[in-house]
Amino acid sequence: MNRQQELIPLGIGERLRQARERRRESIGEAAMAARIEARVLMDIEAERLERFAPVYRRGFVKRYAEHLGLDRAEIAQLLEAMDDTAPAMRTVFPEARPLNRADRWIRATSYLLASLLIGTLVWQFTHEALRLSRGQPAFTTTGEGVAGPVDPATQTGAGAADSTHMNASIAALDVLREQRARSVGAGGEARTTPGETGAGGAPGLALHRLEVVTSGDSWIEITDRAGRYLEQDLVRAGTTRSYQGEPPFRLLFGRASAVRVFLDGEAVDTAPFTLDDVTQMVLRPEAGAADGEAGKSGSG
Amino acid sequence: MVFKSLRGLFSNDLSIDLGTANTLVYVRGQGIVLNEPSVVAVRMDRGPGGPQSVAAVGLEAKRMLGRTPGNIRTVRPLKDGVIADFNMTEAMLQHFIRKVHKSRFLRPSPRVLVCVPCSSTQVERKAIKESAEGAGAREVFLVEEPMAAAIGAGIPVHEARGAMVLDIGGGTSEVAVISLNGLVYSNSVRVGGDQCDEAIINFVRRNYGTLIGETTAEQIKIQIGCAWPDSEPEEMSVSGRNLAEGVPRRITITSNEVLEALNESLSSILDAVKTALEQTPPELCADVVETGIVLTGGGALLRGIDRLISEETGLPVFVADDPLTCVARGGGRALELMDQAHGDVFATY
Repeated sequence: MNRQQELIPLGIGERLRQARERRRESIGEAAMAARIEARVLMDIEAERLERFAPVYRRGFVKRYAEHLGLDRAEIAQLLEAMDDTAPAMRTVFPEARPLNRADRWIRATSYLLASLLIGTLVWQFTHEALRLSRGQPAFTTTGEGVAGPVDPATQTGAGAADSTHMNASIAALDVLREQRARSVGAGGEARTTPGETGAGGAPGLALHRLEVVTSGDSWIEITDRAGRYLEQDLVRAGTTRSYQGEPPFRLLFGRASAVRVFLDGEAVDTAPFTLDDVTQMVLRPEAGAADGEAGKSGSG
Repeated sequence: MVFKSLRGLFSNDLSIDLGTANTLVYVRGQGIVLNEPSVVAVRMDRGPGGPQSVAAVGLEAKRMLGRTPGNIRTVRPLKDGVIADFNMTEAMLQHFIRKVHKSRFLRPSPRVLVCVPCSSTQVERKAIKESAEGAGAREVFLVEEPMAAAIGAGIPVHEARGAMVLDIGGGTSEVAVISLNGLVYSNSVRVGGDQCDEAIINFVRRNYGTLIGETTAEQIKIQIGCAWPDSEPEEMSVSGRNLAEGVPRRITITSNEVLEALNESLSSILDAVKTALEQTPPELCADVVETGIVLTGGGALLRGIDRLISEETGLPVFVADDPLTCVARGGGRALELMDQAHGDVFATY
């Protein structure tokens, strides 16, 4: 069966032509009366309507058949014959399609996965909340040069742990910030009584005490031998802070004229290492002063 | 957002023909699963100013239309194809979306395509979009009704060939010339089935001194309404309240009388079609002369309307298969085509 025959079943055009001839009408007259272009009527009779969409094909045939006075049953028959090749229309109000086995499995698996996902999220949130409520820091970082809570006790104790895992939520960061503020405050108070702190320090570890007194706001960075930050903050005027750690200490003061440093109670002269009011030096207790690098930065 | 996407996995894509008279919902892969009147019944237990609750939606609410006690009010949330009552539209959409997803335990969050009248303003379109989003839609696309109607009627809209479609809905009639997936010309007149019902009510009151309700007028239009004079006029007997005596009376009305009543509404639609033909570019006009006009929407079911338009314009006029559902089906098909083309080729904003 060729394409043309698929679009309009054979015989429809012929039947319409015969009906027109019985009425003794020319194509032109029929076109005028049916309000369809003459060349379209010729195409219908020659069954050459493939250039039109189904909606037009059916419409033309119905209209032409009505004009030729074919009865309703005959028109319905013609349209039904064309329906064989018309695209299937979606049924209106279809019955509910029962789920097949594959659908059921897919749905069940989806539900399971979704439940697992939600369960994991809930567990993680509750776990985190519990940890926070117990006062544990939300994350511990002791990698090289990574900032942790500036608490000497914590550093000596937890510093041994070598964890690079970081897991912190925004809420945890807030809590951490509070803890840090508290520990710094407590540290500051403790450092104002050097006797206690000095006694508390473990002498076997060769820890030295560094004290910083500020008369103006200054950015201060102090790292110990391992490169851990003992301080990295903008310190306000009139603050006295003391730190314990293993020398050599690397110091950086943003406003050097406003900072005085004491190593184990002795004042340190930072002037040679200050350029443009910025001090950069490495402090060693045995020398009581800085080494070459600091000297270079100081002289440079 | 995450939960919306998760819920989206368990929802079907929908195409909604949010009509003034009826709302149809086409579910992708299933067909048209809902065809209910756009009516909401509202319960007001503490008077007009008090809190309102939805008593019924759709078919159930339509049965109440004109038969409600004081504390229940029936509302048609859409008027002239656009939202007249935002909250009620949202409640109605929510009800319909849930109804087509009733076997799911998660609240559905489908992608929704809503068909809008082509002459609706940006504000009206935004109202429809927000309404659908408020009803739980994950993503909302808007497509102009004539485009959806043409796709639903099976017109090859992607071809470089002009096609004219006339969609006669409940509140508006839309005429458009389409070529290459776009509307070359479109116009909308606020005349549709509702205006026809009103015209019948006015005709009966004027000529018979009897008041009939909206539902009765609609029945008259559906049963004996026609747009071209019948050689054998049909008759129908209806009841109404006699205005002079104040008691119920039965009257008999003929199809030719209905034609007289509908004359003005039909003239407005014809004028819109003629204007469209005048405004169409000549190349496309030549195509339209050959292929004619396709009628969709509930108004296309009015007997003889194709003959009337054909006689007035001299063009072949066809009624699409199942014209009532053309817009909803076309919307569903448009959603599929948009997925295939990886872009909202038909969507409007």
